[in-house]
Amino acid sequence: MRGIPPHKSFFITVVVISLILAVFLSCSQKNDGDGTIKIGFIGPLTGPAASYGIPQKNGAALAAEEINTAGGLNGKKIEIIYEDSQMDPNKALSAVKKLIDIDKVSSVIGETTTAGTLAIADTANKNKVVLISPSASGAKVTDAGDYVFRISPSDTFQATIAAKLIFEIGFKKGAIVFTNDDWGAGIEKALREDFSKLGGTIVASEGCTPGTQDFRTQLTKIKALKPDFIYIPLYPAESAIFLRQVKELNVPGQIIGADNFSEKAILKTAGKAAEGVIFTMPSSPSSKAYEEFAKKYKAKFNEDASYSAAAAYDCVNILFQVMKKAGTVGENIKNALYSIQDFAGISGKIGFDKNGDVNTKEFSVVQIQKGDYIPYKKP
Amino acid sequence: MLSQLICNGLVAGSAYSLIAIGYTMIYGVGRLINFAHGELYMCSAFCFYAFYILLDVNLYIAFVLSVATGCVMGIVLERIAYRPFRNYSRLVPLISTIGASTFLKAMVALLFGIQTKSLLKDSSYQQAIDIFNVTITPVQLYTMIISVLAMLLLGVILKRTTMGKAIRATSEDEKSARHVGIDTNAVTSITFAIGGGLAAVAGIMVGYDQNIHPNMGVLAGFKGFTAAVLGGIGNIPGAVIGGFVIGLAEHIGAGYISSIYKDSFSFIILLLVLISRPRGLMGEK
Repeated sequence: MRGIPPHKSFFITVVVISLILAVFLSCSQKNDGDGTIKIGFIGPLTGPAASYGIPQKNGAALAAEEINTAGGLNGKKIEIIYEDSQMDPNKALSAVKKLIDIDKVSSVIGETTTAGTLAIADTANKNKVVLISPSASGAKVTDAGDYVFRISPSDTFQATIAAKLIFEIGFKKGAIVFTNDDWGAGIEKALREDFSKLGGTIVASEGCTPGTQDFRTQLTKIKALKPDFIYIPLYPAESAIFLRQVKELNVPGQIIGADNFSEKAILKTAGKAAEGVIFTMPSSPSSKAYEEFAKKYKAKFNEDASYSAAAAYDCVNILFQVMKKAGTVGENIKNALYSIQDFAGISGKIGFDKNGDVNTKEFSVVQIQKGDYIPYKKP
Repeated sequence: MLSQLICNGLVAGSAYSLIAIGYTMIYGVGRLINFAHGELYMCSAFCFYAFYILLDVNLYIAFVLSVATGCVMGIVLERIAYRPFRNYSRLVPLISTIGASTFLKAMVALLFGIQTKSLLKDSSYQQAIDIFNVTITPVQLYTMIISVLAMLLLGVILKRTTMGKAIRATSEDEKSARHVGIDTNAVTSITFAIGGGLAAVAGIMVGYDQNIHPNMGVLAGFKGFTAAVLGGIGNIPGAVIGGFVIGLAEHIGAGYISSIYKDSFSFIILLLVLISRPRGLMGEK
């Protein structure tokens, strides 16, 4: 190297060689060679959907801890490697590539959102890495590939139930405010179609970019049309400010939500503005199993457990059960997963159909009363 | 509906104007686009959260303290991210402000968490008022009033005080200003302080209206920057007009065309204006 004094160039060479060696040594650690069995996790740990991602991370961590305390997988410990997608499909894609190429995982729990899952599905399929999402619910995930599974029912399911519910209550015309991404737009389309089939009308369908904090324009348009209800597939942060602005602009109509309300994060920020909202969410059997899980979760994380946490917990346990017999090669895990028909998960009974969709879960209808979730009884 | 949309647009516009003024003044004095400006807006909102909600300080005192902190943060930003790189190529301070922006967002997320937070203390929503066929909340009204007052105050400072003259002189020609004895370092610091203060006012008011989160400065900063360029970068009245144009454009566009593209309207207008008037609506300085 010209211009650099000999002692400096020697030093630089040593540093560069050490760095290269370090990278090679860490890369060559095989997945199930010596040490731990690695499972990837991709979810929004920061950003507008972090209120889903963090409980999922916690749920997964709890499951891994229990498995390891009980002896691990065939004697080896399970190690979950967490990547933050920041609810950005591009970052999710970089994360899954890193998990596959550098950490050499053969299975990934994720992604939390529909858009994220769709973004990484191709990579998972090509690399024969199993993808199991705790919560992606968009319709397109059904056809995302052989290696893609999810334990949350498809939105078309949820929208159909919502449409029926709304119609049975007696509402004939409504509006939808949705977040314009694969999840929100998917639910919007499904609800609009199902509700029209039943005979109702959607008088306004207003979208917003993910992360919007100002819904006044959408609400101004909707207020003029006087709908009976407003259906809101919006992310938690958006929902909170939406509910507040509904009250501030005096917009009439029953607010009906989707599984965005399954995390109590909205209640914390929206407070009284969330009173009376009706929404559908995947039922967690109020069973002893869930109560025990909730106790363990609260003891470890000092927070209330939730559906999202339970779903991620189930994902780890399903993978564990499958890997015990099938081993850690992606293709074998995939084949074994398709034969799961009645896994008793904390988030409900889990069985996969030929598309990797779960077809055994039920939805319940809940209303927010005095800051709590109360099962909704039609008046 | 149009009057409601115009009202919403004016409220949003007043916030954008305040942010745009900061961008434009800092560019005027330092020939620097301060990409951390949106984060000054965001940090002051979180300061207010810390004072008002966490420490239970009186509302008005918390407001004043937070704006003051915004000014101080502006000065600190100038010292750390701008002054050391002043004599290098113009890209260097620009990139360093991008770094400051990332740092501030991450720090706030670490300190306060990533959940969106409400600044309302005892209630979940404000009681709106109905006047002239529009529904408006008190904080929206105050946003407009305080923004206008701040802008008028700034105008008085710039026209009538010595410091104002010094700022204008430095914006016009930094070398000559130094030659006539103006302490351009102090002028730069004060300009960053003013920019930070105005961004703080905007951040606190919008945060009170729409909840706060660590990324709230990103889009707002972008739109404020767009407003500044729209009005002619370096031109303060231009920044004010740019801010209101953008606020109105996005609300009226969202109202009559499509709410999905609400954020694009400002940029479309920017494109159209720059094609016909590359120096902005009121001309660059």
